[in-house]
Amino acid sequence: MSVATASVTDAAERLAAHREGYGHVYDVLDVAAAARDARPGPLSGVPFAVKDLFDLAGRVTRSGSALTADDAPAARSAAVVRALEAAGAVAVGVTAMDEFAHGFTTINDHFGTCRNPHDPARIAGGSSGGSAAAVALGDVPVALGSDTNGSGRVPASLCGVVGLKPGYGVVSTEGMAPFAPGLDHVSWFTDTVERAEAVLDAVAPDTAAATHSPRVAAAGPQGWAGAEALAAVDAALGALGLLGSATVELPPLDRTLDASLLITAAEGAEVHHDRLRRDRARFGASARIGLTAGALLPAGALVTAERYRAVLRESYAALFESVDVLVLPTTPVVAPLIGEREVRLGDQGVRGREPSLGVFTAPFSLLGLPAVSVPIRRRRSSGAAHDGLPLGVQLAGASGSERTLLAVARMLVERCGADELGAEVA
Amino acid sequence: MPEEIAVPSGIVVPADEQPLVQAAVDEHVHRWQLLRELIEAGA
Repeated sequence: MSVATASVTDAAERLAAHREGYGHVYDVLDVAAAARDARPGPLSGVPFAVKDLFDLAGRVTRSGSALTADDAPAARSAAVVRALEAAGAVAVGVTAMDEFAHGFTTINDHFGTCRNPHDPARIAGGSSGGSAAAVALGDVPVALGSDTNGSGRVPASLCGVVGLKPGYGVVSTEGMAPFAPGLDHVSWFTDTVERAEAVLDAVAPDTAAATHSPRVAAAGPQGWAGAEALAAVDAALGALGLLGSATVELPPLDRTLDASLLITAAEGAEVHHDRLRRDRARFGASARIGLTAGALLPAGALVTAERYRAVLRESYAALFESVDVLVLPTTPVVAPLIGEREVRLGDQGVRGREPSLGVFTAPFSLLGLPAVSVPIRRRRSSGAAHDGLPLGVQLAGASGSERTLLAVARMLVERCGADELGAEVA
Repeated sequence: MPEEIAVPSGIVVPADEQPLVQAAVDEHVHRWQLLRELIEAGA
């Protein structure tokens, strides 16, 4: 057996071994033939997992729902899967998600709850929680997810792995089941920043080179962040030599999230309209209520949300004239307990868990800008609340800045990264 | 209260679920209102 084949079969075995304890994987693929036939390339023999909304040739794409069980198998794999396979990587498993990507928890009425590798009593985040957990558990070094309002970066933060969302349209969504097509992005989780860039090389090789000496600044308002998220940002700023420097003031995060949620609701209802008419009772409760509400949304709400989106585009374009990389929390809190429906947010008091988890990620999905979540080391010995639970810091930039963000992310991990977190899995 | 309602797009909501759906719609309408106020204030 070649080294590459062994790497792939070992990954499939790890996914299977962890499945019962964490609920992070729906299917472990039969990898024997694929491993043997893996193409030579920069990712030769690298095993990767795939969120349940990417087409895999010959398999039904379920999107975390029971409604799709009778759909036809995919004729071919999604474009991003094909690009990874062309670089030599091998798909080994299909990971857990919120039904139709509707949620930030990966608590799924049909397939169960995905548990956080660092504390199984807590959520992994969502909607790509299974993919983040698979990387955090060390099952695979790469896992594909999607990101509509933060579904890639939120679980990256809560599970302590790298999560990259390139700009809108940078990576083809062909073969990826839609949630809200105007906001949907391909994303991926990796064990290292270098691996995130290797995936970018494979799936979007024409991405612009990194900017030399990028201008980096903290972004606020950070009143939404809990104490741990603020501490993580401070650690990142300290590592970058920016602690105490001026903060770039962003447009109101809560209103930005409002616009994102209105557009998502309207687009999601449109995507699932036929199923809602035909089979509404078979949706899980969260998707059923949320998507139905989207179908009832007054048209004016969508018009207003799009109008504000246009305002935000201008605001952020102006902002990125004087700064290249923004540093801000990825999530306002560490992973909530599975039954915890509310979270305490800085000076905003107690709010609903959803959608609060997406308050820092939504702007960059809404505007299609690249962003990456970088895990920041939180030592178990500090005695602080939620000791040892991971948390991500988000780096975001203008269109085309993916490699600049990754360059700063590499610097961050070298100086205050989460390299110990992988070994601290419960 | 009717046993079920059909929303304009033909989606049927059972009566016992109407309050939950209405609450979700109300949240969205509140968001819409806040955005309108922000835009009118010159955002």
